[in-house]
Amino acid sequence: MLMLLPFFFLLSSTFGKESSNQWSILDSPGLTEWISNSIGLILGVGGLTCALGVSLALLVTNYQFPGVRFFRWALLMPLAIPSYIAAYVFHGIFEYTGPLNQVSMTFSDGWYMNIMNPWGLVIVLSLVLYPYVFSTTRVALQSRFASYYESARSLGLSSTQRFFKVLLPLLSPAIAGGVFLVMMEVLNDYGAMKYFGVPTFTTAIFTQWFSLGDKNGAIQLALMLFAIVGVLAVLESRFHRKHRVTESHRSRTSTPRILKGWKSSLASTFCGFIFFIAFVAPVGYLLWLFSFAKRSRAVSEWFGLTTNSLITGIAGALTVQFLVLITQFVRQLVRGRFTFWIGKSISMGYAIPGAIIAIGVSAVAISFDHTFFDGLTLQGSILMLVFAYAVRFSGVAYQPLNAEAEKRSGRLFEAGRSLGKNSWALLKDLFIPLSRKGVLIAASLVAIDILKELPLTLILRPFNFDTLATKAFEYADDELLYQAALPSLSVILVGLIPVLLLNRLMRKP
Amino acid sequence: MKKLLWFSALVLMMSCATESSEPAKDAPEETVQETQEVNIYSHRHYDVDQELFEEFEASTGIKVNVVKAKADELLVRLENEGADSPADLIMTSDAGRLVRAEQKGLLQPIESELLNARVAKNLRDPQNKWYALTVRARVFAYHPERVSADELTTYEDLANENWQGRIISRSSSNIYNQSLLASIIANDGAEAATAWAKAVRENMARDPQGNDRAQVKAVAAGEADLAIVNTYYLGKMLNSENEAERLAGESVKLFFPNQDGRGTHINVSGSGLTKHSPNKENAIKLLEFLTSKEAQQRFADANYEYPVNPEAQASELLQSWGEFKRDSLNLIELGLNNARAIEIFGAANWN
Repeated sequence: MLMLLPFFFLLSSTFGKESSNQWSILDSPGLTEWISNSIGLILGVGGLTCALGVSLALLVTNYQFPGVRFFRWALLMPLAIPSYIAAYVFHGIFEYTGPLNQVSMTFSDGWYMNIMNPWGLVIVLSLVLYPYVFSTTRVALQSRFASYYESARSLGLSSTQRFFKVLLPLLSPAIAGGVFLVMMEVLNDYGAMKYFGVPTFTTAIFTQWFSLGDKNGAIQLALMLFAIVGVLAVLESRFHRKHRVTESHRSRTSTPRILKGWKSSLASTFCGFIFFIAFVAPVGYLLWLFSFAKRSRAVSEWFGLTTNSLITGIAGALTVQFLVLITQFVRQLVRGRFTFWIGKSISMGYAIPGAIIAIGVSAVAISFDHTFFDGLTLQGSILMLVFAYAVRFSGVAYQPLNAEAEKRSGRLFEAGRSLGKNSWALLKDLFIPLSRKGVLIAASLVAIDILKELPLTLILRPFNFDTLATKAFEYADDELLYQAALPSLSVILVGLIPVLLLNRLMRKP
Repeated sequence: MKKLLWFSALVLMMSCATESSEPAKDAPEETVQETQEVNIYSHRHYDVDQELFEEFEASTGIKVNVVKAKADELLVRLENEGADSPADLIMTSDAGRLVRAEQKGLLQPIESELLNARVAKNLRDPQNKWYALTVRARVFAYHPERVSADELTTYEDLANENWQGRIISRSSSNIYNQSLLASIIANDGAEAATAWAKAVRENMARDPQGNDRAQVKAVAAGEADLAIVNTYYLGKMLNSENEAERLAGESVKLFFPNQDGRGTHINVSGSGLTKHSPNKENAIKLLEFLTSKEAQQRFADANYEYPVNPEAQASELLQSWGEFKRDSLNLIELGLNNARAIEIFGAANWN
């Protein structure tokens, strides 16, 4: 309930007063463009990440070719690159004063291109977001379906038939889960969209509220955005229900097939190519920028920035885990519609732009302070920032934890209870040990998101509190890309910690 | 079990962090004497600001605390915090937001003879609720081979047909474009401004995108002939660490528009005193420090901004561009016409 408070505050402030000009936003001239851009982007990025993620996951799990062990974890690494950093990095690589043009100028007229259009944005976002689909698909491929696939093979189905008739339907819940996460990230992206000049719902919400001071309009837009998310969520859970597969009791991992000849070089080249453009190139470009950089404060403050990033990342991830675990546990104990909806609704924050959550959370904190303290105590504290992260990112943790929980139905709990255990014992001895892997996966995902997070941190942070992400953004926003290089590289490096943890967790079935 | 222990340890840690990082707010009688401080909500995030704050701290013993975010969001935060807000100063990189803060009743008048003597009347609020700290001009960066000098006249002229497919500018979500249009609304009227925005949008060589540096690079690359940019970004580019960027900057020339008329559009960075400022005296002291000749010189040299204090000199680079006539329009007009400007951009399909 606590998690929903910010939304109540926002809604009551919109519809409480000034009910006369409700839905005035519908007359806004840009509305059709925001809708078409937003939908175009989620379809484009969704499709491309789906193609990249699924094909790469299939390759590295089902086949054996040179470098496959490396690619299994390396292909996850672009997840550590924040999308706004990717936006300025890729534009920088291809632009007139970028390295490509400088190198090619030495032997020709030079070559550069402008990637700042919706197509460029789709590709840039896909390159840093495909790991979501890659990871969910890989987990599914590893743990569950090996046996089905083997049987299909022994039944003599051709490889195309096997792919479309057996594998794809079996994988679709996992793919849908990954693509859903991708679409959420796209809808909520602000930095990259603004840099590329592509107006979407999220950028329109910012303009409406912060530039035009039209809170009503902004919240109405947020509600529309929320409706789109609702449709996506329903579609995603359809996939789950339609294709639910009982896990085979002893899913054994199939031995990957060894690719030979041109097929194997093609597989290596493809994986290598994606890894190169999605990770090596951006990191290399940042290093190149860094080599130019004059001394900036980011160097002397580096240690503090990194500590702050780590503290907020860890504290946020743990808080989210704690809250989501409790709701999941209650759901297991009391199975019913009400608890189901409570569980679902805490993931709402994932569908709402960070800045809106920030204002909602600070409204809650301020009224809390007025009730209990003399002056502002909670407002502008790290505690509030962590609470805001929890509101925003519980949805990220909800997915993997829920997946784990669904595997086990309520029967274990009934059994436990019939053995006379009380709730506490159930939580301690049964629920927590059983959820361990889900918890760690969820915690890694949340930590990655928090490390990259911008609007919440910018608006809610206490005095003199900078993180790597905020520093990188500040320099980039001032068009000081050279100074932005160090904090950007550091965000990526720190982000690799949870990414690699995620990889370890996924490897063990 | 382990997890629970962890969690409680964390909560403990966070509460400590909270206490230490928080400027003391309760029991104001004591704190005013004990810890001298001043709290700023700032949209400016330049290293030179931080250095100046540290110097102020060293010379006065007053601790400067800063939260940096976008001005729009900081204003909403300030508004929500109301009378309890710890903020003393709001610092923005344009006049429009300061006017908005004033209109929302978030500011109070400042009484300082020193500030009044240093900052010209059109560069401050009529009731002295805010003062400009630095000035930037919005100018044309053009390619000397593709644009002849006699083609260059005024902002208004960019709407003419001979500029078809030759102009570029950044997105209208940028405050400097909003303020430019606001100044045109104030000078020429809303109707003329609407026609201007539409015509200029149609004359553009490409959809608005990227930042000011990107516009200059596009002119250097031959994608367009003329870009509307801030002097301050051009200064940074000409002093870039990357040679290719310096060359791009050097391949364009700078033109101050409307010199025969009202003068070139300027915008400012500035700072206002919050209505419920808990450390009012310290805040005014800081503003006086930032407008001093020495501090102004630092702004000018490090950031290629024009100083507001006439005693300070513009940087060598800025001086080499020559003196220019500034639009003497009172800067509050930029704020008053801001919402109108955003609407007009929307109608002109200028993203």
